[in-house]
Amino acid sequence: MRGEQGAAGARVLQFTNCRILRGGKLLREDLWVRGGRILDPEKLFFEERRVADERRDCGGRILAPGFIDVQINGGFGVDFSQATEDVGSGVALVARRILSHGVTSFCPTLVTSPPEVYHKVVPQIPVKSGGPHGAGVLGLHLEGPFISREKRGAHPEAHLRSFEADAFQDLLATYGPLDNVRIVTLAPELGRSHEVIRALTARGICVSLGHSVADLRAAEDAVWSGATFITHLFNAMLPFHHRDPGIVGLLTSDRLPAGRCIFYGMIADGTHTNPAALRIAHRAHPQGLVLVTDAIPALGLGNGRHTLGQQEVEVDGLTAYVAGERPDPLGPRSQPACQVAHDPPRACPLCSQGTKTLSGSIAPMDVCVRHFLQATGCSMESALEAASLHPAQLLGLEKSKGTLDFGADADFVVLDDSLHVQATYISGPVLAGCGDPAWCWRAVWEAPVCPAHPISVILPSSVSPWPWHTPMWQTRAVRLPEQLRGGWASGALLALRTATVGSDVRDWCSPTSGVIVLTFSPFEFWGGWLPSPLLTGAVLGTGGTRLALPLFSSLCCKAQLRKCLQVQRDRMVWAPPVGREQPGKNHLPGQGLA
Amino acid sequence: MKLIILEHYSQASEWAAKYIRNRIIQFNPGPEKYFTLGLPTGLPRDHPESYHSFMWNNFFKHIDIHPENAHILDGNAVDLQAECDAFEEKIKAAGGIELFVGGIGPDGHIAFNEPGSSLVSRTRVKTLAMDTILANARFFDGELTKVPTMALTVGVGTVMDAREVMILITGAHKAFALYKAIEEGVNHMWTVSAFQQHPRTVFVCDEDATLELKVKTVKYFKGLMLVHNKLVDPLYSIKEKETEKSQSSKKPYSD
Repeated sequence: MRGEQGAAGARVLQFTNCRILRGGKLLREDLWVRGGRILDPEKLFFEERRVADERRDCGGRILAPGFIDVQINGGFGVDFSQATEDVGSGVALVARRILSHGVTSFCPTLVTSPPEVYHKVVPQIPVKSGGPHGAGVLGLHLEGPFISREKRGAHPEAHLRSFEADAFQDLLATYGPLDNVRIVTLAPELGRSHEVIRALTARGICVSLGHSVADLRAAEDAVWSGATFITHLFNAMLPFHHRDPGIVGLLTSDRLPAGRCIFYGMIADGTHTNPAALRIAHRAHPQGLVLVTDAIPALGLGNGRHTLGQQEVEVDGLTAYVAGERPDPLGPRSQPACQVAHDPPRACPLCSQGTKTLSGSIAPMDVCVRHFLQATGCSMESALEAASLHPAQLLGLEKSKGTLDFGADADFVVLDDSLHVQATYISGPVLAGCGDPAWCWRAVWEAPVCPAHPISVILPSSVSPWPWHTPMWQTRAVRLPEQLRGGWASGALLALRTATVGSDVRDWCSPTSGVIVLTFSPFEFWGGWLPSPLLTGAVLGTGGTRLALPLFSSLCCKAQLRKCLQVQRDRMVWAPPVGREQPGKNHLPGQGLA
Repeated sequence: MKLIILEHYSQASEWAAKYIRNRIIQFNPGPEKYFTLGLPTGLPRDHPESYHSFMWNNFFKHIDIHPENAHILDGNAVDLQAECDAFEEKIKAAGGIELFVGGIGPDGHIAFNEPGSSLVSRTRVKTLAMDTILANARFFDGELTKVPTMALTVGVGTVMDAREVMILITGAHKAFALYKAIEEGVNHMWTVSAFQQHPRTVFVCDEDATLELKVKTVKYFKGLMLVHNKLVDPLYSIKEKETEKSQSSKKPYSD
């Protein structure tokens, strides 16, 4: 655990030339760190009369507290709800991989599962500090099985339970010992829920309302009993009605205990909630908004079938559905309404196949933050606080996490102006084998810069006979390695809206694979394949995102496309809807920005 | 005396900053040669409105000064008089103050040397006048009871021993004090007037602060601005050793 590492003698690091998020504002200040904590430089100056041992120039970037994800079901192929022998290594893998998304602490989430799974898995995931090995585990989030049947969403019906018989004892019998548990999601309309909520709150476990058909009254009573969180607002609850707002009404309820702030999780991936709904919630109660990913094990992987708890889900484009029949290969049409669970399904030739129940999201946390910023038009500080400070406040950790105040743990991310993660810092114990008793401290993850493998960008309009102009929205140009360019000199096109060009790109960028272009076509209503002598395009229109994929049919086959997509899944660009694209820079061949 | 009159508060501040910069460069400080910048001090340290916080936020954190070279009077010391005497010793040990930068109160005081202070006083504890308490109330949310009533301050005599003095005066509420300091005689009721007897003084003010001066005075000094502005012409960077030779050609202007 983090301890006082002989604080007076430890090295002092000073991060200069940066803007830090402090007190709800981005201040032009230096960040001082010592012994894994944020240091007050004034005390250092006047009392200890010391200067920094090391200065790091941040290049004018933003330093924000590390993101805290309180709802993540797995990722990178790991499913937290699977009762394997070695759950710990799965958690460790996810903890390590989400560092690149800027997450420094998280709550692994278990979906509705049979009691045997809980008894096996829960003891294997202890609370753990973060460090170079990965993000810190703050405790488990148990979502279900005490939820409503009608609003179970992707949770398997067979394992739903109630605690009518024995209230808290039922809960203990289902979950086992609650030492590692931090949040429990339940439906307040179930019988004897108030006893359970009170018992859980008394143990310091945060109770969340979700997957419920409760009305506003029941929800308010639950808050009086001790509930403080709403699991993914709008999803898996009754919709807002002007005479009975349901759980959504808690955001503006005046019947809550004085001084109590109700927090609510939102999945800001453009699919789970319409941006307009996101804005309504944000404007009604901005201080309570907590950004969560609700990520499924398919996070970081590609299209195809994956397991989530006891269910099979299907990843298609940027959304995940409960696996039913395979949907039409052309993909859903551009109308976003098709992808949202609705009943009855709208008359749409493409929508009637497969189930359309959403099953968790695969948008990483930094993508959620960016989408939230763009959708609500809020300030950068609000967006960053929604991902860091508010979850910390929910869990009662705002003194040490989610903030860059003096004395807080030094978990922070370095972001550029478009909120892409450049580096993640977590303070941890001194690295083993390091002879210097002071900190050997470096970023636990840094956006890799690989000068040896740059990739070039050439706009489609510059080489193709296609008349339309495709604006590239904030893309970064990178240069292709020399030896790979020959085959596609006639117009290899690649655009990655990401600041990181790293080993993942190296993996798939081989002479036999084609080059994938992600552009923003204003013609997404075309759908399907766009015939062209040089280019073929597959338009995947989903939710708030539009991706047109022109690719060389002669050079690239679908299998490789899929493989490429798998790797680039978490780097997909989120395009604005038609009519709101912003003109980007036109990069001509050879003009890489690297 | 040089009276520098500029249009606005920001221009006055900028002129003063450039002047200090030029003086530091000309002085060419080194490990053994300290450029001592004197500033008035006072309140207890751990108060957020203390001069420690003020100096840190507005000055020290933006420059690469070594903490050991920053001396602020400690209002929390056990023996305040001994603290003041030690401060005087530190000034002497550093070679005396090269440039003293200060402001002026509406009652014409320099540092916290209230009206009636001896013009040869040294660093000591001083009770604050009501005027000063009122003026400082804005830092304590307007609550008069919270404003400290005593302060440690350098004396008028201490400042007179500095080799150069620069006083910044901005705002219409200081106009009468400026008038008394410049156009009337040396008087212990307006302690800033003591600097009429200092060989090198610079008063930097804005238009509003000249409201009580004679038109003749203002016109005279404005006419000299052409010459005075040469004082803030950029010199070479202190880090450029090769241009050290040109230092001899730039002599500080003095009257």
